[in-house]
Amino acid sequence: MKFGLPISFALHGLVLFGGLLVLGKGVSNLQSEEVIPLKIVTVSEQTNIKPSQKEIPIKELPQDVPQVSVAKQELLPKAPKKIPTEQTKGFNLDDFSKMVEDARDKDPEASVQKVLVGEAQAAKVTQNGVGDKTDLTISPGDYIRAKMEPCWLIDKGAKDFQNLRIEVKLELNEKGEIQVLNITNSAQIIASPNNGWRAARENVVSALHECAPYDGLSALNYDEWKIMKLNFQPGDEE
Amino acid sequence: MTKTNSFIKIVLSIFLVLWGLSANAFAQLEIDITKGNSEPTPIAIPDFLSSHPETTQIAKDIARVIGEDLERSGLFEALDPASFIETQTDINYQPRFADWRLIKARALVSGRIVRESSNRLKVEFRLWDIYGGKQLDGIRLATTPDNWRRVAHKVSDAIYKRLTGESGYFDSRIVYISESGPKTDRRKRLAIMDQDGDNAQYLLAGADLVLTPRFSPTAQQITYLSWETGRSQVYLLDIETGRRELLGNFPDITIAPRFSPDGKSLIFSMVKRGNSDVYVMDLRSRSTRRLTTNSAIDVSPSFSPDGKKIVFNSDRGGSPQLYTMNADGSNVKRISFGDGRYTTPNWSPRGDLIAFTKSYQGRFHIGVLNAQTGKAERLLTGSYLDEGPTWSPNGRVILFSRETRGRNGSSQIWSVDLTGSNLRKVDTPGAASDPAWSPVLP
Amino acid sequence: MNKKTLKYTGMVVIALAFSACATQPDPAPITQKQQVEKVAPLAPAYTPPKQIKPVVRQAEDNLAEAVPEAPKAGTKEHFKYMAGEDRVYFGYDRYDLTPQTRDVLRRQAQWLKEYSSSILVVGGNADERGTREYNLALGARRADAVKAFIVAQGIAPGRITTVSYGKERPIDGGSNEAAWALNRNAHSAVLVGGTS
Repeated sequence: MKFGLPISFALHGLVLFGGLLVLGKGVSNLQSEEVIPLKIVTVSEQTNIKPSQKEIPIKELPQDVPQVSVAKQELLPKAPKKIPTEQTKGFNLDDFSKMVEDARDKDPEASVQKVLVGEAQAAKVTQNGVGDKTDLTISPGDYIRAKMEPCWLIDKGAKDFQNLRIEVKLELNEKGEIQVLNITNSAQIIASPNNGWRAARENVVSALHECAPYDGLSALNYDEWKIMKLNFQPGDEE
Repeated sequence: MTKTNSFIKIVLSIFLVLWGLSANAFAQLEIDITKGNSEPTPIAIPDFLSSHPETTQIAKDIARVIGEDLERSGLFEALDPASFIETQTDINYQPRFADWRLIKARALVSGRIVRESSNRLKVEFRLWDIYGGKQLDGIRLATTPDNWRRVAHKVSDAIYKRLTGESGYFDSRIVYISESGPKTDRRKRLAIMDQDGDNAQYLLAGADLVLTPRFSPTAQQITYLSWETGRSQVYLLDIETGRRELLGNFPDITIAPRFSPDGKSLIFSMVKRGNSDVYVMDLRSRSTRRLTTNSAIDVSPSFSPDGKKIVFNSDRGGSPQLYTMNADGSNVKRISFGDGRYTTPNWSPRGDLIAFTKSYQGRFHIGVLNAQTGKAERLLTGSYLDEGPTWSPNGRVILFSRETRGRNGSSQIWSVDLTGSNLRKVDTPGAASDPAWSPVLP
Repeated sequence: MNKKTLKYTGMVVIALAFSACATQPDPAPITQKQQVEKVAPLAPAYTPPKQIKPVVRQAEDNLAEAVPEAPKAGTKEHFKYMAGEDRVYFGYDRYDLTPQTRDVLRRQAQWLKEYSSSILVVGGNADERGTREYNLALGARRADAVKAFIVAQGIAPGRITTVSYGKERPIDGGSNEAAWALNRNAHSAVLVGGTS
């Protein structure tokens, strides 16, 4: 019922504050103006030059690292380095029943799982005929997505990891090499109390560099992918 | 009210979208990327440099312990030193980033040991972002040579913090129950070890049954249960001085003690006429207040990290389930609704999750659910008998006891990441149960 | 109800048989049904005597071999002998008393009345299929159920203390129904003249 007031607010005062109210995905572009460019990427060969003055100095911790003590010390024997494997000395009913029980209870999750997602994905990309520069086989979007999957390391244990959105402005030359890489929502990330967001940002930057060059894109439509906006945000598990 | 609000939002959105479009006119192509992978981050940790023969071994050992710490977290993969191309001779020079990119290292830890005297050395390290081509951190720590392990854990903590954004947990300890003997005549002793299983020692000499030790989140103190007087009572132990105290000396059975997040009070269950209820005790005044009055079993209370809420276990609904309440006992709400029996809730120090034990169809699981909503339940483990989750100080890793079945069954401590990945057995000398993580050492 | 009780008794008999040879490995899991069908009809675990004194424990078979002599009156062995059992058993996650259990506890109370200087410590126990703290609470409940019943028989509450061991004091280390049934119990220990 009070429309006049909100409208006048909207048209005048609030525009300035608008950038602070993050209402949706499209909104945060506002902040790109305040963005601190993360780095310029001219990957020239590094040589052993003295670190620049901007280098973070070595922080001296104020005190010595002290010994920590425990009263009433009685050392337990050292832990075995590995879980002792089943001995099969003489035949013993107890051992046998234990083996049976162990077998019954063997946990498939017990070993550390390592799925070589990276390699699997790389193979997929090649299969799709993208890697070998055959033009027009795949859209730039699909190409970039497939290319990023093995490189982008997501920390799924980070707090609110699915909200840690990283927006990137990526400029490539015709060979698909990175010319400019800007994190356009850096201000928001730095302001956040969730430090995991900063870590996620660095993960994305590393991923983009590790995956470069993006040479599977067709030079014919270079204008289309010369500048891209990439939004990294972990989706729901499949 | 809400109508006007949404109107403002609509008007604002239109504005901002238009503005955004004009400012971003060059970004024609917009791509949403939602899929990545959960592989560990490759990190290179060459042996630390040493200018003195006396510290050469320590320099190697420190690098090894850092690598083991980081790998154990499941978030990092320490690269094989044999693959390293560059051999740095001075950590004050920039590394050749291209060399490290070739082996796909994302970060490099280069450190050295400066021996100042026979009983004092300084450990320096720099953490490099290989693709960013910049230094992320550089720290110098001073210590005595025999304290090198702690220094290594501190370095691991700094690296972990810089690369994940969350505080590390490697410079911490685990108190637990060391077990020996057959199931029908089991001996249980209070023990402590470093987080990586090193340096294990007993804390008590006695032969009395002791159970469920828990660390103070603010001090080097442990609360635990002991049958020293013939029945279960709550004790407080200062592990630096060895000072031990019986708390309250209540005439009734007391169980399930746990500290409040500020370390100033203790929450536990007391059984009166067969009925267990939750109580809280102020550790300075020793005054005790009853928080639940239900005739059901109310046990295993655990505070939220802000101290405002308590999660506990109750069978008031017919089977053991998880409930939350305010710290004064008001506003009791059930938060577990799945099939099965839920016990031993433990609120994450990060605040977002509650870990629990769930038994369902003859198996026991460690799981987590959203502390606010009670939803998004995830079971992380499963076996004949998994129980008693305890959180790492940063709320990232869970330790628990796993006991195998049968007459020769025995218990071991296992760890798992809160995502359910990286399940590992923690090496202990002999059988072990009831782990509880210390805060990060001061 | 009756059938259930019968089943239960059968289970305990089987369990006792297994516990007698503690070093043996667990037998292959036997389901409850099998045990009951085979064992239950043979004999109840224990036949309550008509009177308190004298008690003649019925032999398992009819070979009238020497019935072991009654232990010295007033001792803890005598308590067990007179009551027939110093342990009573419970169902999974239960703490209610079965008719048999009540009989045993009545005889325990009778003994306590007779030896009025003795005191009783009731220890509640649970099987391993529960978490430690919940089982401590459950054990406490069982111990208290026993105490409450004995108190109701006219024993002063001050003479009875309860403790709970949760799942820490199994009398059978096996992981099967028979062992679990044995481990869900409340144990009555008398202390006579300051010693047990």
